[in-house]
Amino acid sequence: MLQALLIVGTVYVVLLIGVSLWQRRGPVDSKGYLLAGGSLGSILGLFTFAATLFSTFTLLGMPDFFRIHGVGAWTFLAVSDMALIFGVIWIGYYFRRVALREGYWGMAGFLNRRYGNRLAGGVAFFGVFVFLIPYVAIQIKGVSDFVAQAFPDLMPIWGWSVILVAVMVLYSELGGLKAIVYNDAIQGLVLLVVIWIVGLSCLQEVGGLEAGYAELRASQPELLTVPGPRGLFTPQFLIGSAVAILMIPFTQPQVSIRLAIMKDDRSMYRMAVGVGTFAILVILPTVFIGLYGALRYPDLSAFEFLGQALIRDQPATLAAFVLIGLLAAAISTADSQIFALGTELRSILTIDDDARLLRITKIGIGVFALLALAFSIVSSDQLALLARTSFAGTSLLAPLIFTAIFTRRGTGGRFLPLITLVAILLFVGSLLGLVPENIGPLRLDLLLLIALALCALLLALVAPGNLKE
Amino acid sequence: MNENEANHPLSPRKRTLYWRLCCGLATLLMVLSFTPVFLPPRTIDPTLFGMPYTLWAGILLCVVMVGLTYVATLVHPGRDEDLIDRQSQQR
Repeated sequence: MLQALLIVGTVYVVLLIGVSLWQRRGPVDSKGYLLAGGSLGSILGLFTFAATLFSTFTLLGMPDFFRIHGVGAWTFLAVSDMALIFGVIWIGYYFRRVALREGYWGMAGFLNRRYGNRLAGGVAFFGVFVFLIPYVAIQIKGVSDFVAQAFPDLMPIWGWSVILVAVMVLYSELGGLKAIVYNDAIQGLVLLVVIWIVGLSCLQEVGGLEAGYAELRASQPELLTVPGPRGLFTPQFLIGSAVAILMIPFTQPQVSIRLAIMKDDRSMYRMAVGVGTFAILVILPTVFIGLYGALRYPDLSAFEFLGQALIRDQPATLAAFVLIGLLAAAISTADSQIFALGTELRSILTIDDDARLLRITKIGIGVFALLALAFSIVSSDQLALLARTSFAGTSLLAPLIFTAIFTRRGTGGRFLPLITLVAILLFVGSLLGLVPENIGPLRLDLLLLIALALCALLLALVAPGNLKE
Repeated sequence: MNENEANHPLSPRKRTLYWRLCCGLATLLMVLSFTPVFLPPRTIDPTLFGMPYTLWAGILLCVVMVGLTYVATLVHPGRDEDLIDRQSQQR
């Protein structure tokens, strides 16, 4: 298999870097480099949005979620994604109106202008930094662990992580957002094709849907219902996750920038419908892989199961493509996140010299990549749950962002950014075990979000002019 | 009434009505999707192609939501503003 992987992998890396070099032609300024010229069509928009949204978490985390926690995993991700796409056409329209009028360079800079102070942008940057770096890290770690397991004697885990980050930084730094967008299109297609081939192969192995589910019903019927055998998929967990996922287009900068750079609103609408279709298509085969895992490998650890189902049980050439598909899933999300952190940094800097700004942004991207690499070496392997933590963490920025979109400039002043910062710190405290995870019957993240939303609503109502508008 | 609005098969008033209906329906479906209507605790039947109720009903819900989102894009109140913006830029 190593030979197959080397051939497919070399072609893949050459393709990524080739696209970056092709996109690098012509003069480079901030708008071209960081915003891909600001004119993304619906097809490219669909693939870059989908590839950014669906990460290693989809390919590795979801099959394991179906295997361990059962069919509620569909509601956890797929149903939540449907709320997300409707949110894109509903709220995205207003977001684009205000963001484009203000001259959008990044969410943090946008908030600075809307709130009239630098605290708002600072809090937004802090929030995305704190919750995106671990998310990038788990993409890197997930794939590195997986590849290291497939080739145990070839290289240590951190060696694979370094290669992954080096490829990602190389093509991102070379070609900017446009290169990332084109590479996302390639990677989105690779991910979709690979996951379907593996999914159908797994389904065939268990004798088809009816036979597979009949066997599972006899052995582990709890997997066919909610809340699942371990009681994870409670309504509160699912609603909390759906709210966090629904807000991703506005609270995770690598996604919101894709809304801002769409050519026009129509392209954004078509893109949203496409992403919904892509979501169903990409999550469905993970159901089959999870079903296969629940029947054949119910007692293995997550990575042992994935190694068996995705690599060892597949023909060598297909296994090589699976590894490339995984690499594609990880890179396409992680590069966009790292790049978005760089863009966010640029948006809060007040330097007039464009060339200097671009230089600082590129250095920032490199530094963020190194931080994510370091974090990946120490993070845990709970892919799906760490991803959810990232979504829940950044969703705390939603009231701050929605106030900026829907109310008059200056509404919320310094108070809303300040209490958002407190909420983020409390949530981080709960992750570190310093603050309880539940307050009464409610999860802390959900409680904080509700409290922030109520404060934002109150501030919007009392601020002069908002009611009239 | 501008040129684009005149070309649209629905009047602006009807489009606003349909847009609101789409928003209301999407909200209703999303709320129901987290209730026992779509997530009945410890219930497997009725099955479809062997799939338990929670799974096939969830898949069906997603397909309906994509369709609803598509319809909503056709009657979105901002659909014409965008074209007008582009045409005025070209002029």
